Amino acid sequence: MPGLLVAVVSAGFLPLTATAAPPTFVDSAIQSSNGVVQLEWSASEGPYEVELAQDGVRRTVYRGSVPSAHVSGLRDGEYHARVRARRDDRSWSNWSGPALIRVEHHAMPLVWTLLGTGAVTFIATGFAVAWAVRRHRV
Amino acid sequence: MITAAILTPEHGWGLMALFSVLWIGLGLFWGRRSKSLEGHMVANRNVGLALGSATAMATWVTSNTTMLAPQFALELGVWGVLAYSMAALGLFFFAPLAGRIRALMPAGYTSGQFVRLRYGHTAWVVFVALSLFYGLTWLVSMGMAGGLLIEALTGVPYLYGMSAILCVCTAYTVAGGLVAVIGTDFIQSVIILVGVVVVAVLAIDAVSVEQVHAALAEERPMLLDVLFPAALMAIFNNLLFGLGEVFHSNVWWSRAFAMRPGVGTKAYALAGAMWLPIPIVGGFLGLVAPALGIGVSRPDMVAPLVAGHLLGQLGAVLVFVVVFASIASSIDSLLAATSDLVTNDLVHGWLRPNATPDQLRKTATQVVVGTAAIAWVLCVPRIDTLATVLFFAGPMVASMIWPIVAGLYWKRTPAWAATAGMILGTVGGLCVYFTVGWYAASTAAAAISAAVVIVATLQRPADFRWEHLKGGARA
Repeated sequence: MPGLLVAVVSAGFLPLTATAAPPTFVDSAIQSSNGVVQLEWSASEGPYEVELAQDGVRRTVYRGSVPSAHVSGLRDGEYHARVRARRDDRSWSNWSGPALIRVEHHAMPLVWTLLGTGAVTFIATGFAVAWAVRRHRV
Repeated sequence: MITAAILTPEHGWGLMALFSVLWIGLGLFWGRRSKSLEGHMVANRNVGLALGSATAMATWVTSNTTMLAPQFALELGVWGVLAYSMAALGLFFFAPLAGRIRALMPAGYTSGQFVRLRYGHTAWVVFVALSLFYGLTWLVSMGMAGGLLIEALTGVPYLYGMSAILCVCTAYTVAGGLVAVIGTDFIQSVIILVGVVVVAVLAIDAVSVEQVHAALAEERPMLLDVLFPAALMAIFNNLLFGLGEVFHSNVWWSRAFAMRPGVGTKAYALAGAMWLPIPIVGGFLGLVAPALGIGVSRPDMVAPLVAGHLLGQLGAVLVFVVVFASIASSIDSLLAATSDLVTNDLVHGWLRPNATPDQLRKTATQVVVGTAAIAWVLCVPRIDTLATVLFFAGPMVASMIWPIVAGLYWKRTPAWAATAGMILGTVGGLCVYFTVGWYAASTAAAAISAAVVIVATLQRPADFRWEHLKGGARA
């Protein structure tokens, strides 16, 4: 009977089911202050598929054979990522446990302070070079 | 979504073999002119405008431009593209400094030599330590970029590709010194410019701006946000990082010494203008990845993946050639400049002051090989992304902007101010690196260093004599 079952499945008569242990995220709680997240997971074989969910809305953010995915441009909020792997028999593993991603961008007062500091330093450098060149002629 | 290599490993090995033969052959050919120490280290001080601007442009088009600019765009969006392009100002601002350097030190060899003569031993020790650390991070980031590129486009394992590009660059730099570096840079700059124009035209033809915008708005909305905090901080941070890189590094100083009198200013300004559009094209490649549904596993691999996907096998070959040229043009420059710094400042200035020019010429060769070997060891474990590797050195280089500018133009800046500016700037910048992020670290370092140098110059002025720089031809 088991042999018959395999034959039926491989012939496409039954739906493919999850058969192997799912990948596991290396870090299951990730903080980001710039909207960038590097997801990595341990698993033996790929390819993999990664989904990201926020407020119940899921979307695929990665399909590929490398056990890591780069996600960027995320707004403030909490996201849940999950990954699954495809096996040699073309079946998918179960979804992994979720990785919780919390994105909280830097506060704007800090941003304006550093932006202003950079601008002043740059302008001062430009002025110093221009003034010195004018004064020394070379 | 696509992550598979576009070319086969056989294509990869074939292309690497072709360019290895070309660059090493040219290195041997040009090496006939650099038998002396003067020829090996400063190309006989006879580099004209065409070669001078080409070598500056090609060296500044590093793996950082062709592979990091797309990463900037993918992580920091439209502001990231602008931030990266601002690095052109490093070359523009260095243009007048190059003329000043050549005039002040007509027989000079290295930036370290300038710091030692201008500020003394303590500042020199700090400067050389920071500069060598930066040089190594830059070299490692490029070795990694070479391995990543070859792996992404051809499937040749990272270790083999990285080793191949480091070996090739080491071979022709040893064979031909700065003459070979500048000569190959000229050819590489032509390849880069032609390749970038072709890639840009084909990419814009393949995917519309509207498609790119729609995909970003849906999947990565912060990349289009005008008030993206990290991206706003990165604008001046990258600019100041670029200024620090060019102002202090012996890569740029050695070219200033190698150019004929009066050439440096024009050559660096021209190089800045030629470089400016390249990161914009590179950044566009990063932004189109979501529109094309390309799965990105590492952000520094996005450019070769996108280009290969957009342009097919022929395009992948084109990208391979362009990026291989850009990486080689920077690795060779860095090997040569680091060798000069170590040979002139550490070996001749400190360990073996009585060494003959022939002995120093041999030492320079050994240093090139040794530097490449260290870089190889550090490249093997693929430490982190290119940006993380490189930007860790950001606070160090940004803290050297004001000590260099003041040292070149202000005779009243005291030596201790330069030392304090470099140390306090580096420490402050690294604190910001770990508490805020790499995108603010260079800004903090440059600001602290500038404040220290300006206040010290006003409060405790010294009186340096410029003639002292002319007297110190060699260490």
